[in-house]
Amino acid sequence: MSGLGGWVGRRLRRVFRIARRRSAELDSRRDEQDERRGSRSERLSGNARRDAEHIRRLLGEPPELVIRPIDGAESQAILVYIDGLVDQNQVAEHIIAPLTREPSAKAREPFPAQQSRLETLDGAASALLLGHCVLLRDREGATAYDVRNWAKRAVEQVQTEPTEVGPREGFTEDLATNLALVRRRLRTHRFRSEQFVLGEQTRTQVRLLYLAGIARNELVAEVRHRLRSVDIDGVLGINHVDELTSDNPLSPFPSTVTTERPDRVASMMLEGNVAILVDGSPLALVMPGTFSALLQSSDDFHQRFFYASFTRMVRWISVAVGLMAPSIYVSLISYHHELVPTRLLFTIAASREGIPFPPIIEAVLMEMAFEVLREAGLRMPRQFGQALSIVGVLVIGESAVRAGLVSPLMIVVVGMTAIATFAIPATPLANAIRLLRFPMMALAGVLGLFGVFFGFMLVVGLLVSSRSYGVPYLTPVIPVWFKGLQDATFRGPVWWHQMRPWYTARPGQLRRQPPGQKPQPKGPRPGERP
Amino acid sequence: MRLRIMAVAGLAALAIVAGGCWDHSPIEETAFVMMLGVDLDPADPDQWVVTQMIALPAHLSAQASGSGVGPSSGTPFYLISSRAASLQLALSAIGRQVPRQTRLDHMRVIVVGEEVARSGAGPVFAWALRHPQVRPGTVVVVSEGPAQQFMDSQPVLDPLPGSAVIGIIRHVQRIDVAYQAHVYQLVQWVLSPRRDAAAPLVRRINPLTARVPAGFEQQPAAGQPPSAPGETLPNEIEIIGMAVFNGDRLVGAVQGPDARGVSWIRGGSQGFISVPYPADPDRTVTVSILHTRSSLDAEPGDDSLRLVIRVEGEGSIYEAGALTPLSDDPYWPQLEQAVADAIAQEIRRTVSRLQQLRADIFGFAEHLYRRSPDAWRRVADRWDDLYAQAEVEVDVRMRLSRTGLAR
Repeated sequence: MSGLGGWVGRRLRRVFRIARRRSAELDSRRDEQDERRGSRSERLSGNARRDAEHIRRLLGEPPELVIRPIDGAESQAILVYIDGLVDQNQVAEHIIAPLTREPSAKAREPFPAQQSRLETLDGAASALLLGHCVLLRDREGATAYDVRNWAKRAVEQVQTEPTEVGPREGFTEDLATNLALVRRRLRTHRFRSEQFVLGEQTRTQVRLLYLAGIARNELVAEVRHRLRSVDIDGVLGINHVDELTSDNPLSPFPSTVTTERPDRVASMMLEGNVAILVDGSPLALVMPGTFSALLQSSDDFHQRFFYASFTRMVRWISVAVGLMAPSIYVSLISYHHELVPTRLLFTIAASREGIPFPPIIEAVLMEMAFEVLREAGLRMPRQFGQALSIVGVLVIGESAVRAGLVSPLMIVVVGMTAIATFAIPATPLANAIRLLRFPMMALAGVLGLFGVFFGFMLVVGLLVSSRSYGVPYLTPVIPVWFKGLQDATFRGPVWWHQMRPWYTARPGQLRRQPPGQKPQPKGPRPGERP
Repeated sequence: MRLRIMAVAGLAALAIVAGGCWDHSPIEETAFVMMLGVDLDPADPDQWVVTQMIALPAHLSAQASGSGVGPSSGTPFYLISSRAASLQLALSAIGRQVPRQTRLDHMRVIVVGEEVARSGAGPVFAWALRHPQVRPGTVVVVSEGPAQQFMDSQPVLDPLPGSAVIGIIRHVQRIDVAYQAHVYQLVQWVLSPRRDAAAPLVRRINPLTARVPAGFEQQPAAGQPPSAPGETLPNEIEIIGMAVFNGDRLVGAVQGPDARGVSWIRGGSQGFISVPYPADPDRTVTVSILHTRSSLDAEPGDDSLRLVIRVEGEGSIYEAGALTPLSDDPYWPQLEQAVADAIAQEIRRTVSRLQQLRADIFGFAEHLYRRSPDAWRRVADRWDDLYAQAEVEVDVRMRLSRTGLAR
């Protein structure tokens, strides 16, 4: 025992030593890169022709780089842009035309929407890559004009978070469009958007959005700090940012709200939450994300509160069903018959008559079959959808029961569980629950109900101990906050929502609306004498 | 060091996992006993004969007939019996014949054979209370004749005789002759010096031959030999009254007309009662009792005892024997009195039968004790004699609130 332990210990120490050496090497290499980056940020010379040549070489002499000299009387001017990233019409109309057609040289200035002075070679290159066109002029220096227009998708219906009556437009891959979608809903001078560029190679634009004076300062500072600490080569989507800034990197539960609905971002920002938009991703990241926020849907606020409260409770129930239904079923029929009402027990027993697998194997098989079906449905080309559903329903459902491989009741339980997970509005949360179902089933198969509750306690322990940006994950349930419960377990009427959550909003800005707004008849009713 | 601690912790965690498997009993490897009959071997009264009714789920559920051939043929259970010198030995001896593990978790009824009850049913109750799989709420009934024979019946409406028995008891205890007795109640009553035990008395019955009046017997179909009476045992079951114990021994029963008073005395009755119409004795008025409340007491004198039974209730007329409206009937108070008298009559009859048996199944002594422990202590050792000789005072007040004629 001690020999084995010592041997493993020595091995591990050696592995760590090697790892430490490797990380030192990496550090030195990073320093080299930094140096090279420094050399790239050399200043533009002021000589248009030479600068254009430098830029061309820096970008690797791509054929789509357009370098177009513009004849002027006084000075040499060269227009540089990347074909495909800019709007040809704008270039022709707003930049080339004024520069060439204007009779007086004084008035020869382009007039696009946005322009900025460039000082360094590096800046010029990134401006080009962003879809600006760069005008290099002798002695006058370089200017970048924003004429970007690349292929992008129009604003379309939300795909992953459909609602019954709420607004339907969803984010696209274009940051400017997404920003406009949010801004259009929050027309306030408090709206702040801070720019970050993440990813050494992708240079992805990331925006941090919040309402100044409403969002808690510490929260904004913390998000800012975490965004600054991101240092990878490529940010291709929201998940890169999420995984690099998450509070509980090893927890299966998401600690931020991801949404593709601008109205949801706006409503959460009103409560003091902070949002992150990443260029190229049709999703926004909203933090802090608590468990109850993940169970909210946009529909909750677009429907009358009784119904909204009801659907919200349905969602809490589906979390429980999705997590535990198969495991409770397995443990009941293999350990605790006495808990099942007699007639139900006989129905179950009759359906299990002649099934070759023990319940736990049966349950895992069916759950796996369902997961495979789901994954296949997601991955395969749309045209085959019908074929899949036929095979799924007939082969997995009908034929497996007919052949006596699985009991019909197991199909019912698995089906119910599957549907329950689809009732959870936040896909990452639904995925976490889907994932935890399997260890729960294993515990049920081995320990019965004791195992189910053991697993449930582990899950609850995990939830209780996690935080999202300093906010306990189960707030307002644990620690309990009664004012907030009215927006977590059920949705109170709008005139109840007088407070912003204390964990997102600034202490001085907790009051959201004045009290006493419940509509009540004032004065005499029509036809009544005063 | 940390590694070793973790290894030990891991092994300890595995031990928990091993513990779970001990309780593992998959549903398909289990046989569920629905009903248990206890008899004495007629040849050797020292031997217990235990009959177990094991459910066959495949015959029970609708799913077995799912392929569309209609209800499955064959009984949904089978009976299996074994004998041994003790109850538990007899019970476990069945393991030699049944390929699955039998479990008593879902057993709902214990049938005590008449012979067992007469020679003392205490061991049965004690066993049932001790056995971890038997629920204390299991219903106990006493069968007329051997339990085994009773269990072989096949009630049509409820294919499981166990649930059929319980269903009938529930129904019957609302209207007349019997009330439920659970294992834990019976044990309490047997042990209590102030109350005697009683359990529903059951028997098999053939609803047609038993009830059809003379002259209405079914003619045998042409070509078929007429079936001799008594050739097959009747299939249905019936509750006929209460089996009355003294201590743990069966001493007799209140049944038939004697048992009609049982539910009046217990209170909460929703039965029916018929009385002749005061103005016209040829007409019969039947009253449905909506609810009753009863209170019992015993008043000991110097060398005598008075049992006091007060019943209050409300009823509604279901059958008046004529179409005339009764709402402004001048005989209304007399009718109410007639109903009360009829109920009092039935109560007296039941109590006098119980006095004959010297069994205090309604716990008059218990009521006395609760009211005045000292008074009870003074009569405690003479109680049985005093009870048998006691004078019975019955006070029934009935109100008829509805004439039953809505149109």
